[in-house]
Amino acid sequence: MIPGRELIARLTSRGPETTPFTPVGRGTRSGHLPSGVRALPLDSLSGVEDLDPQEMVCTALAGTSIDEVARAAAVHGLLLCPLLPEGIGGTLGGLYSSGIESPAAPQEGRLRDAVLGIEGWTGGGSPLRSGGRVVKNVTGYDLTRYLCGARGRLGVITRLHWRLRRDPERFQEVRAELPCLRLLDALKALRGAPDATALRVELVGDRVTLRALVEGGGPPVESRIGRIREALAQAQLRSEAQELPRAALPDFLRAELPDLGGGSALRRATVRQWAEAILLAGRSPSARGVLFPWIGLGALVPSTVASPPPELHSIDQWVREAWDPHGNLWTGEEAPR
Amino acid sequence: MTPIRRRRRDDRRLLRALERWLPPSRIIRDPGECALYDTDGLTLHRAPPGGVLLLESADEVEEAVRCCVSHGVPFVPRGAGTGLSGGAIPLDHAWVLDLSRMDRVLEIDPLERTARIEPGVVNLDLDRAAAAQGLRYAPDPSSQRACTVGGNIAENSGGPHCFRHGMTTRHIESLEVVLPDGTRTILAAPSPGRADPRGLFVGSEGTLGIAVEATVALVARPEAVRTQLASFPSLAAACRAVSRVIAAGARPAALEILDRLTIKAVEASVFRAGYPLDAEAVLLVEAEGSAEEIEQETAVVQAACEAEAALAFETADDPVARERLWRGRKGAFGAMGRVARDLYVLDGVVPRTRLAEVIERITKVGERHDLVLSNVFHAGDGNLHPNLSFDARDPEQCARVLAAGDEILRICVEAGGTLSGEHGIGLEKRDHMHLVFDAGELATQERLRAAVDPAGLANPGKVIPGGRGCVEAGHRGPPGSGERTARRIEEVLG
Ligand SMILES: Cc1cc2nc3c(=O)[nH]c(=O)nc-3n(C[C@H](O)[C@H](O)[C@H](O)COP(=O)(O)OP(=O)(O)OC[C@H]3O[C@@H](n4cnc5c(N)ncnc54)[C@H](O)[C@@H]3O)c2cc1C
Ligand SMILES: Cc1cc2nc3c(=O)[nH]c(=O)nc-3n(C[C@H](O)[C@H](O)[C@H](O)COP(=O)(O)OP(=O)(O)OC[C@H]3O[C@@H](n4cnc5c(N)ncnc54)[C@H](O)[C@@H]3O)c2cc1C
Repeated sequence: MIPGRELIARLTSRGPETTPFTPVGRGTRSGHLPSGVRALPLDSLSGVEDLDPQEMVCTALAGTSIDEVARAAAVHGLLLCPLLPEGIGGTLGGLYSSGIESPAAPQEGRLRDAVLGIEGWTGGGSPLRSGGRVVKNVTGYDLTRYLCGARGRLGVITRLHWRLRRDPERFQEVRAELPCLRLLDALKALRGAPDATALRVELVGDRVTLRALVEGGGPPVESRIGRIREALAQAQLRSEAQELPRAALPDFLRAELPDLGGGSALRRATVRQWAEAILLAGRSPSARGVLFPWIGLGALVPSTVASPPPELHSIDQWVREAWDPHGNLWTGEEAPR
Repeated sequence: MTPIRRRRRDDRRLLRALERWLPPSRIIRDPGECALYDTDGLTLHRAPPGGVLLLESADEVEEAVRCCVSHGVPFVPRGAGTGLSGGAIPLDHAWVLDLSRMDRVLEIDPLERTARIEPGVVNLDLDRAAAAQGLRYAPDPSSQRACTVGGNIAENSGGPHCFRHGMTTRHIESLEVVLPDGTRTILAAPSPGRADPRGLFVGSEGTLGIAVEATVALVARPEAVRTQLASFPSLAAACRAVSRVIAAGARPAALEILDRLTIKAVEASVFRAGYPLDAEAVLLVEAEGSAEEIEQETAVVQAACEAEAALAFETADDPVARERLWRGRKGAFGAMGRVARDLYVLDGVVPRTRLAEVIERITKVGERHDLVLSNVFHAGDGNLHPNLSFDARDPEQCARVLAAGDEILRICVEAGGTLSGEHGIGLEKRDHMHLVFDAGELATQERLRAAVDPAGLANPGKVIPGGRGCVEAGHRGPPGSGERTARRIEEVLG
């Protein structure tokens, strides 16, 4: 555990009259904090402490920038796991806490599965630790997976053990353009083909572009690409394969969607629900959307996909009361306690 | 919710309340029959349950938990009872809620690649149902012919193919659970800014509630599979070959090692797989993918094995030959069970690159305690299973086994590893938790547990040392009890 006395001292210094804290890394996703919430800056808690290229594991303090870790890994031909857009600019703690899903999740595991362990403090100033540097670990409650995406509302993360993966060095994509009413057929066809690393669907008006990302090169990869195209061809869909330049990879993976205007927030739905929503949206010539069907995430205008309002799970409520009885950490509500 | 505080325990009134809605044939109170539930796969410990309920639906589980809570009676969910850390042992005379009858695969959706199941579905049955749709359920514990997916969820179980596909937790999309206060809720993908309750529940060993339904992720069945077997003049060479395979960028589905003692036991048993008897270790590698991918990977694996002076290298593509090579691995625990009456299967994890050195130290522990110690392990993940053969009827042997187990776990932790990679903490390693966590860290976990289970009735005495309901199990019950587990394990082993 890193010397966190200062951190806890600050965290628990909140008297009844003062306002709660919220941890902030680089602030790329923290947005504007409502008045009455104080930032707990963590970007100075920074440094890659250990990077083992053989074990493919990295340990870093939470305020370390993602780019710094990526640079340290690149020396060994490795990347942070899962596949992430380069140059996002945030911190490792912010990445872990932001809760954005990786489009490559079905192939590589979710973002939370890339994190092998965490250390930190609860809002009440008690030490938190879960997992470690080994890849399999069921010792105690799995707080590593529980707190991923919790945006610092249940605890402050100070150190993370992160999985690394090999850099395939080359990326290709299979692209197919089709009317949106054929989307479901195309998705069914792809289910019968070798899996791509990630699948991205872009909607403009009543047409969609399907983009399947394939890693690496060489004969096995070419044959994989061939079979993806064959499956589409069997569904009477034309496709082409092309190189995806490294510089274009961030745009492919970006969960952050281009500004689609009102109602374009990321929503979660099943593959079938998305296919239906895109069909409906495609009736409007101004329809726009981006979708990662295999992880069920997308944004669509006009949208008929309604995510349920973010409801606090009762378990979180109980855990928060137990871990942070004085409400030192901001709950994320507009009007803090 | 207003937290329910623990009520005064009243088993008799609980029984009367249960009899109002549960047929008598599904309430077991007879001590002889109850004794069949006094242990699980960890036969070193036993404790008799207060009673056993054979439940058949989520509504019944909810009602049963509510009844237990209203009468202050602790309860323990149980799947197949194959757990190896004593998770299903009913401490504190807890009532066992047997879920093995809730064994339906409710729906398989090939487009979403999910299956909706009841918790008592046997792991292999789920995989078979998925296979009918060209899919598979990836986590494949060696006990998969008997263990339930509910038990897998509670333990976050692994298996040989988890090297590539990840543990159970990665394959859980959503869960319907009965929380320890008797309320029923869905744990699904969190909305933005929320913690992931599925992540917390998986691996919580029945202490945070009972899974009554699950939607699990399925993966595509591989186009082709090749199993490769290499034999080595030393265990260290086999371990180094594994590191070479991974360093060369190959991504096999499984990387498993068996040591000489295990090879000998397997070859003398019904699980005979044709492993070379002159080898100090064999390495099993499974490649999955297209024919081209498999060829490429085989070349990498073969080169790695040759670089470590492998004695022999063999590949199998057809299902019968592959099945033969796996039979020895899957039957390894059973084969060792024939060396001595009982087998204590340990489960520690170390960094993969330290496997050889750790095994050397562990071997010395076995020698010092004069015990037969064999190793079968998930080498790709650094997940060791040192196995101690013994006779549970001999208290002196049991003491040596426990002492050796304790030393082995300490060695794993010292090497930068941990207490368990897949079998869980349960009762077995509860008192070793302090090797990994300090008092403050354990208190944080205990606070979480108490927040979810304020009455302390869900599987008491497990996972966290010194927590509420921390009661002792008797070591080594009377001979004859635990038959149900023995039967189940026999089933697993074919
Ligand atoms: C596949 C993928 C694609 C992505 N694409 C983009 C993109 O295109 N653009 C983009 O901006 N982001 C993107 N992200 C998200 C990106 O990870 C975050 O923007 C970034 O990492 C946040 O870092 P930060 O330091 O700026 O966090 P902040 O904005 O400072 O914090 C983010 C949240 O985490 C909390 N937090 C921060 N640090 C800690 C800590 N140590 N302990 C506890 N809580 C903490 C904060 O309270 C806040 O709620 C993507 C993520 C993934 C997985
Ligand atoms: C021969 C043999 C080989 C094995 N190989 C492996 C292996 O390769 N990998 C591996 O990981 N494990 C292995 N195991 C261990 C064991 O099979 C797994 O832990 C398995 O997941 C237990 O499932 P079960 O249905 O038998 O659960 P049980 O033993 O009945 O219960 C295990 C725990 O889960 C809880 N539980 C059960 N059902 C539920 C539910 N629905 N909701 C909440 N909690 C519940 C119980 O209270 C208990 O704490 C092996 C065991 C044997 C005997």
